[in-house]
Amino acid sequence: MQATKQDVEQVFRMVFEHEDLEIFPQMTANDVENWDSFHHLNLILALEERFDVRFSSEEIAGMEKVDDLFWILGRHGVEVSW
Amino acid sequence: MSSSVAANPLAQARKTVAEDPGAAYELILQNSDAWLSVSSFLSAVQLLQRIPSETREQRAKIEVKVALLGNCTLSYTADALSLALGPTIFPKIYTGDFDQWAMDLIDTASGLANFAPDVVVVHLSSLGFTKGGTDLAAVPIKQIEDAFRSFADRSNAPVITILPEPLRECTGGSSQTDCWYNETREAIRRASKHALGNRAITLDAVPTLLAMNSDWAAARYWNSAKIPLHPKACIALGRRLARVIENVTYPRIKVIAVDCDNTLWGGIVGEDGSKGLRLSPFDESAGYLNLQRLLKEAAANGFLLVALSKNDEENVREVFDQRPEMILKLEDFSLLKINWGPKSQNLLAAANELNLALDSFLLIDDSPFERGEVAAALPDVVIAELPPDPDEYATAITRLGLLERPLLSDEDTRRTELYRQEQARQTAREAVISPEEFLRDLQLEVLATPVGAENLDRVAQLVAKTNQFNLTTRRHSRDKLGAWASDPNVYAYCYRVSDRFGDAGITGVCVALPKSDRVFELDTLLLSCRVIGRTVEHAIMEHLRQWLADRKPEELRGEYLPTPKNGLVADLLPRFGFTLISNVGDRKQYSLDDFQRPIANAFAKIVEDPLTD
Repeated sequence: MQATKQDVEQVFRMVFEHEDLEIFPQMTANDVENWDSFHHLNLILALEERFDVRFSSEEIAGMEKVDDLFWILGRHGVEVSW
Repeated sequence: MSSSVAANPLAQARKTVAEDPGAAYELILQNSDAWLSVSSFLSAVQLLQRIPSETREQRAKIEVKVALLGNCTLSYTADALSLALGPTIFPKIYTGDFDQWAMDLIDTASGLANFAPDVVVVHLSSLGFTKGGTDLAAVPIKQIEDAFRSFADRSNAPVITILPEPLRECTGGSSQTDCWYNETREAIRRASKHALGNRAITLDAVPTLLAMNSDWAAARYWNSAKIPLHPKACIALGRRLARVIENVTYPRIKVIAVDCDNTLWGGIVGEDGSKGLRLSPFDESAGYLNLQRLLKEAAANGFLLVALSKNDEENVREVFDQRPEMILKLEDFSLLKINWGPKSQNLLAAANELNLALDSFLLIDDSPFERGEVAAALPDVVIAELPPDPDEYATAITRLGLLERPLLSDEDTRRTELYRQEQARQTAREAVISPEEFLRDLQLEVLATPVGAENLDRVAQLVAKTNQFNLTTRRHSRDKLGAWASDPNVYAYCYRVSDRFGDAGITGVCVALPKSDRVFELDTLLLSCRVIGRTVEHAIMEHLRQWLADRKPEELRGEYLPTPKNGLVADLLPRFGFTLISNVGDRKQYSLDDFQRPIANAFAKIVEDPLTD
């Protein structure tokens, strides 16, 4: 499955309630105002639903940068292009 | 729900929340089915945080303090609960710290004690007891019971325990795992009963989980965040929990108004007779009996039953007398509203007689037409969407979660009563729209078709079987009807009736015979009970009048021949302008001689079948 940066960005915008949020490869929780553990989980949940994938708990824990996320999505067959 | 609403109601709510939070809140509440998708649920929760407390408080009937405790993360359940309680309860929610539930219950200075809850929910998850499934040590039942007992000593709040979830599906396992699961659940159920008595309520999550296929078990969420079920399952559980909390604090439903024909039994008593009704637990009519059993239990738990049926009352009574298979007995009903009037009017009367508000009524009726009529006239009445298949009646009603009233002691019931009385009683108000307005919006169409080869079977069947709306009950043979059909001097028509609820098919027959050059006789006028109460007969008579007007007769004679079942049409002809000319015994003969004046037909559009011209 092919996806774009915008597809992922939509999910971020919904979860973090930030309509102009733009994601970039090195983005981490420190770059987003309310990216706490609870919102991290909402993000995972929303991404799983949006791309019809299931992350492992190791992947959930290892997802620090947006880049990591793209790489993990790739492992589940979702190729995201920047 | 309605397709006329904007494609995404939550997006709509987001736009309007700042200037009109009340309207935005309404959009959120009315689209509760959307919460089953994660993104919609998260949006709804975000929006809920932007709705002012006053708005939520005004929308609800009462405020209830709910404490959520457990050996797992409760955030999704809590959010779903807040949303799902909205229409009834403005909740104040206390969420205990992770796995501190026992201390909270025991400690007289705990956060829980200070909160002084009205209701406590304790979610005891299998994963929480077993270190994520890795250790099947025996659960400390004694301590659990002590914790409940200690809380019961100083609070009257009911305690809803969410029982442990099946473990094998979450983490794998063997019969040993199943054994642990079964014993633990049963022990917790017993401990809660011992300690809390009638205030103990146990909630089995399994029915909710079964409805979610295999996705409910999601160990990754436990391992990442101590969430015991897939968050979607927590959301579904929160919704169900909301109904349980409503039922113990402010029971929405007090009265169940139930239709009879094709709802409590298979068939139509006025047509099939009480002996002809389908009521067997051993065949496809078992669904009706299952609904009866469900209602019997509800009646035993304090719900009031009202029979709401368009029928002659004696026919319905006969079913209760003559059919021993009936699980419900007449004594189970508080009121019988069995007549030919609109159901909305009968519900209104029942609400006044019982002195209960209309929003405490649940309507169970197989007919989309009747449900629509009540919904339009009395929007406060809760209406069950009954599936077309009777096999699914009882499960559909169960799934509403409105009849799950836990057995409470007298004291607790009185407490519930107090809640009710605190509220100003909203007495049954006038119908929002009248039955006439409802009929006007019905888009009723009557397609008049001459009786002929393509409909003769159906016409013969109607003539042979129709009992209730049948002026003369003359059982003509198929051959006789066929002969009339080919005689251009005979008016022999059938009628296909449709409205915005659907097409009822050919459901009416009328035959007028020439008796001489100048006189016609109304031989047959009948309607299937499926379309009674919609003024179809006015359209039929108007169609006949137009047909006769072209032929310029002197009079149309008609008579009413009474039978035990057709009392409904005893006074029909005078309503069309017929005058009584003779009244011998119980035979009443009438005559109509003015064919220029139209018959009042305010609601139906008459369409002549194009095939005939």
